Amino acid sequence: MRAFHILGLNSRNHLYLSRFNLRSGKRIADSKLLTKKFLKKLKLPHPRLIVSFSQVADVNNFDWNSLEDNFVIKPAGGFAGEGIVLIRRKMVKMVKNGHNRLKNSSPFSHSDHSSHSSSVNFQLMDGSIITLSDLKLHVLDILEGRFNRLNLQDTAIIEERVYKHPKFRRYAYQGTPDVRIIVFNKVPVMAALRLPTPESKGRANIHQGAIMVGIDLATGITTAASHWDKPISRVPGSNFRLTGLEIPFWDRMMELAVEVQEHISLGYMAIDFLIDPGKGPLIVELTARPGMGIQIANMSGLRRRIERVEGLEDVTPGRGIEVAKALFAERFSDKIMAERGVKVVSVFETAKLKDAKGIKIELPAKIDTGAFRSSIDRELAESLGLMKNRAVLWHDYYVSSLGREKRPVIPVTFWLIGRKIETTANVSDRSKMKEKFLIGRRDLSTFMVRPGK
Amino acid sequence: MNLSNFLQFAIAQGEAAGVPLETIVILLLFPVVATVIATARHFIGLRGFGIFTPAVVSVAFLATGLRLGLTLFLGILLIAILARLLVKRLRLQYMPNMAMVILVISLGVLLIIGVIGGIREIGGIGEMLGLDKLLMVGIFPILLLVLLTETFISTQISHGLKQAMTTTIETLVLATIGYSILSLQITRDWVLAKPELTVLLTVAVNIFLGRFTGLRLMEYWRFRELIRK
Repeated sequence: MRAFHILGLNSRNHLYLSRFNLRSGKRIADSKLLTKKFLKKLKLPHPRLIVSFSQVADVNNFDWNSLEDNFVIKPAGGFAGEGIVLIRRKMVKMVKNGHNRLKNSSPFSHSDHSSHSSSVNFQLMDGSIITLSDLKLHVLDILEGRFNRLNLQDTAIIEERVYKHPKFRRYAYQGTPDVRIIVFNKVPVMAALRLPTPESKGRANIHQGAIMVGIDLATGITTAASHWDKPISRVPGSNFRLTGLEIPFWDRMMELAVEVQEHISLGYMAIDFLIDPGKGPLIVELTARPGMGIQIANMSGLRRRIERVEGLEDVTPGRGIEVAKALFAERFSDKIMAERGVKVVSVFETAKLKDAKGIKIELPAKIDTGAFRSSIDRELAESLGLMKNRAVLWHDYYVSSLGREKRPVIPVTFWLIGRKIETTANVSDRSKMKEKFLIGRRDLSTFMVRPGK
Repeated sequence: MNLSNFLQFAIAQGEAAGVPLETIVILLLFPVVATVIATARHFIGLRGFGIFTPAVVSVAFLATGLRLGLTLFLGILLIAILARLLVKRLRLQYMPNMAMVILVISLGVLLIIGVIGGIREIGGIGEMLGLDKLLMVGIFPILLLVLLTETFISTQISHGLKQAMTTTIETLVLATIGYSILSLQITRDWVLAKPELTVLLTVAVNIFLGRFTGLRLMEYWRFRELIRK
C-alpha cells in the first residue's frame, strides 16, 4: 500500500475535521449528555439515561438508594474511557446488633426500622467493592473536571449498563465490546469491533490495550485484527480466532450510523454501538475525531476510501450503504460465501420463520430476485407476534404496480434449506397471495436461483 | 529605513535605549523555537505539552543552563510524584490537591537550596548536575519548571503515568532543542544580523507546515505493516 492511502493526523485534521465537522456537531459529540438528548429526539436506540448531575447539590440531593443493579457512571465530557465506572451489583449492608450481614439489593432494603442502619455498597465488574461515599467522591471528581478532555467543569451521567452479547463472551474481558462505524459523506467507510482485554482493564479503548477487529462492510464479518497497533489473528494468549466472526445486527447498525450523520453537522465521524442481546444495537457514543488505528485493524487505508466517496452528491441513506458495500467489500467476503457453498433454490421453497417465542414455523415462500428486501404478509406477521413491542424498525416507501406505498420494516429470522438468515422484511398485504412470505435478493446473496421446476 | 531593514532599525533603537541584548535575542528567537516545535509535531510527530510549555521551558533552561535545568526539572518532578503519592491518601479534590503538591515542591526546593547553601563546597557530582549554579538562579526559571510539573500531574491523572512520562520526555527533548537554538552563537548572530529574513522564513515554514497533509515520520513507523502490505 502507498503511504498516501493512509489517513494520518495531518490529513485527518486539515482535510476532513476542519472542513466537514462544524462546531455545532462537535458540541453534541463531545458531550455524552447532549448526545443522549440528540438521540432521544431522533428516537434512535441508546442506553437509557438514569440521572445526570451538573452541580454538587444534585449529588447530595439524589436518592442513591434508588439505584439498582447494572449501571454506569460516566463523565459527560470525558475521553478515552477515562473516569467511567461500571457497576454490576448493588449490595446493601445491614448493621444489626453489631452483626454485619451482606445482602443482595432489594427495593425494600433501605426502608428498614430505625433500629437497624443500612449502608449501600456497589460491586464493580472485577468483583471488587466500592462504597457509596467513594462513589459520590468519584462523581464529585467528575464534576470538578478531573476526567474532562479540557479539565473543565463537567457533568456526570448515570446510564443503564448494557450486557455483553453472548457472541462475544469468549472474546471480551469483563467490559462490553463495542462496534465503531466511521461514516463520511453519509457513506460508511470503515468499521471495527473493539474488544476489552485485561490490559485495557475492561475498556474498549485501543490506546489502553483493547483489541481492534476490522469488519468487512459488505457482510459484517471480521477480516483482520490489531493489538497495540500490531496485526494479530487470534486473541493474545488464547486460541480464539478473531477473523470470520459475524457481527449481529450488522445491517441495522449500518443504517443507524448513516441516519445519525444525516442529522448532525459532522461530515467525518464515528458512531459507536453497544450490542444488547435483546434490544439490538444501541448508540453509546458519537466521535467527532475518530482515531487512525482502525486502519491497521482493517489492513486498509482510510484516506483512499474517503477520497473515493468524497465527490458523491446527495447520498440518500440506502444508497450510501449500497455504495459502501459495493466499493469496500473485501475479497474475503466472496471467500466466506464460497466456503459456505452456494446453495441452489427453486422459485418456490419451504422456509422456516422464527416467531416471537423463538419457535420455527414452516411455511411456503416465494423466491423473488426482482424484489430487494424480503416481504411478509401483515396478517402472518401479526399472528407470529412479530409486530408486537415496537418491533417496527422504520418505514420505507415502496413503488409497485399498485402505486407508492409506505410499509413498516421489521427484523425477521428465517431458515432456507438449512441456512439461517437474520434480516429485515417489509410488511405488506399479501393476503391474496399463496405464499405469505417473499424472499428478496438482499437475502439471496449466498444462493443461486433456478427459475424452472 | 525601508522594508528590508526596519527590524534592524528597531533593534538598534532598542539597544541605544539600554534594552538588554538578551531580551532582544529571545524576542526574535522565541518564534523560531515555536516554529521548530511545530515542525517537530507535524513532520516527526513529537507532541510534547502543546507549543507554549516546551518553548517556555527552553527559556528557563537558557537562564539556568542545560545541566542545572534538567537536574532541577527531574528533581522537582520526583518531589512532585512523591508528593502526589502522599497527598493522594487524603482524597482531596483536584485544586486543593495540586496546592498541596506545590507546597511540598516549594519546601523541597527550599530544603535543597538550604543544604547547598550550608555545604558551600560542592563536589564533582554536584558540579556535574550543575548544582553549584543553583544559588544564583532567580525564582522565575524555577517557577516555570513547577508549571511543567502541574501539566505533568494533570496528564498523569487523566491519561495515566505512561502517557505523562512519554509526553514529558518529548517536552524535554523539544525544550533541549529550543535551548540550543536560543544559546548557540550562530543562531544568535544570525537573528541579529538578518531579522527580516528570519521573519520571512518563519512565515514560509509555518504556511507550508500548516498545509502539509502527508504522514508524520512516527506514523510511517506506526503504519509500517500497512505500508509494507
